[in-house]
Parts: sequence; C-alpha cells; structure tokens
Amino acid sequence: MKNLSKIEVHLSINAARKICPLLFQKGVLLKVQTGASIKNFLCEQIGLDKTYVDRRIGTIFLNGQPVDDINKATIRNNDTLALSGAMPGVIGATMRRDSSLALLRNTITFKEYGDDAVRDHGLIRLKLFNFISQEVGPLLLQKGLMVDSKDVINLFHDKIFEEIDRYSAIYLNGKKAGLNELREILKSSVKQKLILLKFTIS
Amino acid sequence: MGKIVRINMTDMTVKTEELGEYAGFGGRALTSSIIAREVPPLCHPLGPNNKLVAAPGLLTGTTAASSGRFHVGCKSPLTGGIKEGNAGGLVSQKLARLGYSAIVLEGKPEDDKLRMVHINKDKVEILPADEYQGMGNYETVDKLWGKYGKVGIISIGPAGEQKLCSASIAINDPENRPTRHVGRGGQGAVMGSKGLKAIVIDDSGAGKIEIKDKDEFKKWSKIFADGLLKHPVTGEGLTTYGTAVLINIINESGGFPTRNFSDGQFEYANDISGEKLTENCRERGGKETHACTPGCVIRCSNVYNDKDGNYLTSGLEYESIWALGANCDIGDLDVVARLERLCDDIGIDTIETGGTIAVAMEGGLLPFGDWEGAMKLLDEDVRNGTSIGKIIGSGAVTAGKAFGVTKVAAVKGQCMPAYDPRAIQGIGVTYATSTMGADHTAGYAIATNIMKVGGYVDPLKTEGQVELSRNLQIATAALDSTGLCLFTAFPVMDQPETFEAIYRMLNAMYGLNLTADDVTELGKTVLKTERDFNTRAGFTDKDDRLPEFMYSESLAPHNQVFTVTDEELDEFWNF
Repeated sequence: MKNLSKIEVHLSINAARKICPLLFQKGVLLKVQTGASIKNFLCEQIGLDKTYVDRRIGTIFLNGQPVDDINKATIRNNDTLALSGAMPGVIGATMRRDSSLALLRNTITFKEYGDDAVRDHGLIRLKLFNFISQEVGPLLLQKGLMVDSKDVINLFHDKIFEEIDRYSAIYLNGKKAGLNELREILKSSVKQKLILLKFTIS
Repeated sequence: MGKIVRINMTDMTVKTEELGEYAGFGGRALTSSIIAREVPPLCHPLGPNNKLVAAPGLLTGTTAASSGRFHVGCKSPLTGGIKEGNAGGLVSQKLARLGYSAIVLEGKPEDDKLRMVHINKDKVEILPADEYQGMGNYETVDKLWGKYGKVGIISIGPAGEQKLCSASIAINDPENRPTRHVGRGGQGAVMGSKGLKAIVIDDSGAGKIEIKDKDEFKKWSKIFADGLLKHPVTGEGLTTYGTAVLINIINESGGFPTRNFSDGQFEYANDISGEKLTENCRERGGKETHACTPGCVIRCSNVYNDKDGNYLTSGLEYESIWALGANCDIGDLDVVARLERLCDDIGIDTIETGGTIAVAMEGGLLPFGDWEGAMKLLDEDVRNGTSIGKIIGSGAVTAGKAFGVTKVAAVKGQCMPAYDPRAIQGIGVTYATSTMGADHTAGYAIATNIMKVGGYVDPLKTEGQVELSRNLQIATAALDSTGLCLFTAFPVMDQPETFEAIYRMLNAMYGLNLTADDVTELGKTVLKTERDFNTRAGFTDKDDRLPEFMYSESLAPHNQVFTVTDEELDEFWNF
C-alpha cells in the first residue's frame, strides 16, 4: 500500500482523550472557511456552544499573538490557532482574553483586525492545550483531521496506543489492519506529507 | 500576636521577646521590617551583622485555606539587597501554633562546627549537628524524622554549608520530602554562614491559635475556601496540571526563554509540558495533584515517579522545568526531574541554577542540551565544592564573568525566571524595579480592578505598564504578609468576596477593623521599607534596568526588544 491517505480508528472516549494531547499539542491541520472570525470558526464551523467558548476557552493565540476580541479577529489560510483554558500565574492571567492585565503583553497582542481577509477555503493549524484538548479534541477526532506523517508515526508508536490497541480497530484506506501492520506501512509511507486521521468514538 | 525568638549564633544564647514595634506585621512585612531596621545595609551578607529572619504569615496556623507559607528574609548574598522568599511545607503552621511570629538568627559562630536548633513548646535549644555535615537534604530530613518524629524541618544542603550564593533553604513537605524551597537569593548561604544545618519545629502539645471572633472567622474562611474551589484556575487548572500547564501557553506566546534567552520558543515544549507531566504522574503511580502544605485546597504540587514507578521528586513546577529544561536545551522531562531532584538535595535554587548552567553552556563549558554534563556539574561539582562547582553555585552573573559571557539575563544580580520580557514587556518592568532582583512573584497579586491601587489602569491603553506593575507589586507585598499562597490571587482578582474574605479573616482573628485601603497601605509600606534598605545598601535607579542585550538583541518569533524607557521605569517609585 504505497498511498496511505486515510486512517480510521474506532476507540472508546477514554482512549480518545488519552491520545488528544499527543496530537493537539503540536497541532493538526483543519480545512476551514477563511475570512471568518475566530468566534465563527469555533461556533459555526466546529460546532462549539457559544457559552462553552465564552466560559472555557479563556486563552486564544493566533499565530502566537494573544487575542482579545474573537468576534473581530479573522482566520486566514496557513494561520496557527491555539486554544487553552484560563491559566495560572500573573503571566497566565495576562494572556487571557480581555485580561485586566492585557497591557503587560501589549506589544505582542493581536491587533490585525480588518475586513480584508479573503473568504475562501483554506487550511489552518489548530493546537489545543490542557482542558480544551480533552473537551474539544474528541469532537475533532470524529470530524477528521490532517496530521503531519511524522506525527502520525509518533502517535501510533506511542506506548499509549499499545495500551489501547486491544480495544481499538484500525482501518487503512477502508481495510481493517493491526497496529503492527499499520506501523510497517507508515514506515514505507514517510514521503507522504499529510495523512487524514478519522476516529469513531464509542 | 506571637513572640519573637532570637537565636544568637555568636554566644549561643536564646532570647524570647514580645513583638513590640513589629506588632501587626507577619510574613514578608515582618521579615523585611526586621531586616531594614536591624541589619546594617552595608554589612557583608555572610558576616555576623546579617540576620536571617523566618516568619509565618498573619493567618498561618489557622484553618484559612492555603495559608501555610513560610517566609524568610535577610540581606541577600546574591543581590546585595534585601530579600524575602517563601515556601510551603510543614514548618510555618507548626511555628505559628507554638506561638512564634518570627525566628531571628543573629551573629556568627567563631568555630567551624555545625549546629541545629530544636524548638518545641517548652524550649528552644542549640544542639551539635556535625553528624549531618555534607549531607544532602533528603538524608538530613530522613535522619531528623527518625530521631524527632514527624516534625517540621528547615534545612540546608551542601550548597548552603559551602555558603554558595544560589543556596536555598529546604522545608519538608507532609511526606517528609525536602522539596519546598525558599530558593531565590542565596538565603541558604546565610543560614550556612551562621553554622546552622537545620531547625526542627516540634509542635506536639501546642495550643490552638487564638482567634478573637471565632464565628466571624469561620464564616469568612469558608467564603475564602469556597472562592478558591469554585474558581477555574485554583479549583481546576492548577489542581489538574500544576503550574507546568503554563509551558505550552508561554511557549505559544513566544515568551518562553530558550537556550539562555536566545529564542522565545522551545521546539520540545510538548515533551516537558504540564500535559506530559500529568500523563507521566498518572501512568507511573505518582500524583498529579498534591498539597505541599496541610490545608491547601489548591493542591498544585505533584509527585513524580521515574519510569519504574519509583519516587523521583515532588513539586516539579513550571519555573524549574523551564530553567533546567528549555533554557538548557534539555527536552526530556525525566532528565529535568532528575536535575530538579539534585537541586533539592544539594539545596540550590532551580531557577538560578538553570540560568547559570545555560550561561556556562553559552560560554562553552559544555554544549547546550548536554544533560549528562549538567548532572555532573550538580552532583559532582556543586555537591563536592570543586572550583567549577563553586562558580556554578554562585549564580548566573558570576558564571558570566568566569566564562566571558555577556548575555546574562539578570537584574540586581539575580537570574530572570521563565518569562522573556522582550515578549511580555510588563513583566520586564517588574523584573527591573522589584526590590528583590528579577523576580516573577514580585508583581503577582492582582489588585488593580478591585482595589484600584493607585488608580484604575485601562487595559486597552498602550501605556501604563509601570503603573500596572506597581499596583501588582503593592498587592503582592500585602498578600505576602498574610501567609496566603500567591495562587489565591486569581480568585481574589475575579471574585470580590474572596478578596474581602482576606481582610475579614484578619479582622476576626486579631479584633481589627481593616479595610481594603489598609491592605493597600500595608503593601506600600513593605515596598518602601525594602526600597529604603536597598538605597542605603548602595542601590540607585541605575540598578532598576534590564541587561543591555535585551535592549538590542531581538527575540524570535516576535522579533521584539525591550522598549520601556529608563524614564518610565524611574516613574515606578513615585507613590
């Protein structure tokens, strides 16, 4: 199987939560509608509840810049968006959205608000940290995501996957396969840059 | 109010006295007041005229949640200025229950013998301690618990005995692990200079803390504890991931100093993150949540086991992981944990040590990422006091001079913690102006929008970082006087009733009528007292500056330099 384009994995919610940090700390690629606000992306495109976004996603970075107004900040092709809960420490608090301490990080705060972002389809890298990884990650796993092949190799070689392997089912391009078989195929597919991962969670 | 016990290490006498002119002070307010009033500012920090003052906070020993901080102050051998540091552990509550508001160590023995102090409800004794000479903190506390039972222990390791400027003071935790450290500024060296290996606090038979209005205190302490538990940071975030949860976030912001402050992002941050730490703790039978002090509801500490499930260290936290990890280009959490364990055992500050090893790496003593070399530096050189070990144990500035490195991220002689001020400019104001040297905890408590200290600062303004840093430092100085953990600052920021509970508890305990304004005034008084000491010790505005390279070498990925002007920094003390 030279062209490994899609891996499907059936697993439990607990197993899904265990692998979320492995995938989402480095980030995954998602097809998105560009030119939309971060709020639109989170609520309309991913399908998160507005209250959840307001209460739980306390810290947001767009291309490494802390964002305050998610209604105005728009996402563009090749952006990196990182989502986190509210953080401790004075600097953790400083990074929060609409923080009363936002002044402390004024020079790196996202300020490129504008209506010139092209409304189109594109790819962004999405990173999820801490609680957000655990809470939003499983939803995205089910929607399907593009992952760098080296990160896919690392994922399926992680000891966590050995633990959950016996409770999981793996399909390569629609055909059932074992973990060892998958690892072998991944080795021979290193030239492929991206792989589509899709999970069915029960 | 309790008593002060003065232990004179010159003539080996012990004297107990009332608080007198220090009545109403606790924690940092008390340590800094005693140092400022009684220590000659120009004295040698390791000489007989320096004093080491240890004090519980005003609320310590009560049922107030997370109120067990133990504060220690002196003239710092690292900075040459006043120093206060604090830690959790077993000691502070026991000392408060024995009725002591402070221990003041004075003088200096004329011989080279090592001694310890034993304090219980009946007496304070100075005892021989030569048998503990050269011993690491782990072995020391193990032997002392074997001899004295489940006591609180203040100890120094080999670094303190050698009087190294990065030496810390260890406090044992509830499992008798010497993992809570008054780390910054070399206070362990001052304890070592007084020939003191350990202080043992046995509160057996001690009475309860006197509280004037028990019902009122109970009411407000419940409101305070509920406030901590319902807040997402103290009730959930810190409890689940500990402070290391910040690693991914600060790394994402581009303010995570990497390879001796050369980069703002570390490519292996995921491998040393809070998420990774939690996963390892769970898998290996450690604890991802742990209270360093009895009665703490935040429980941000952890117990970290090695791959075989054996205990390795506890309280592995953000600053230590950064200092011994990213700043030294070490991206393996198990290695970082082993380095942190060594620091705890030798009794040396993790932040200063990580910063110093990074400077040594920059200077070519060993390559960046050489974790085996870093382990050897600690376990062989610093522990045994080789020439190289004495340089590494003396801090980043000394190492910079020894190895010809100009890029040394320090203010007033103290290495910066884990936030690069070129990315996060506001923390640079705090690093520059703090009386303590570069210190991330100096401007920590968030008071601006509740206490409106010095006026409300509009967060959308592009100016005013100095004013905001000032407000934070004032509030922090006040909070540091209560014995409450700094992490309580977050519910205090977001929940007005949690802030109110602090001074209501103080009022109920001492029969006072404090208001929010009084708390603010206390903070101002502490800062001005400390500033006055430093001025008399020779510090000027010129010491309130960041190192030269931060104004000229930009930091990726935001490619920023530090832009707050000297004139703006000098505005800090205008209050």
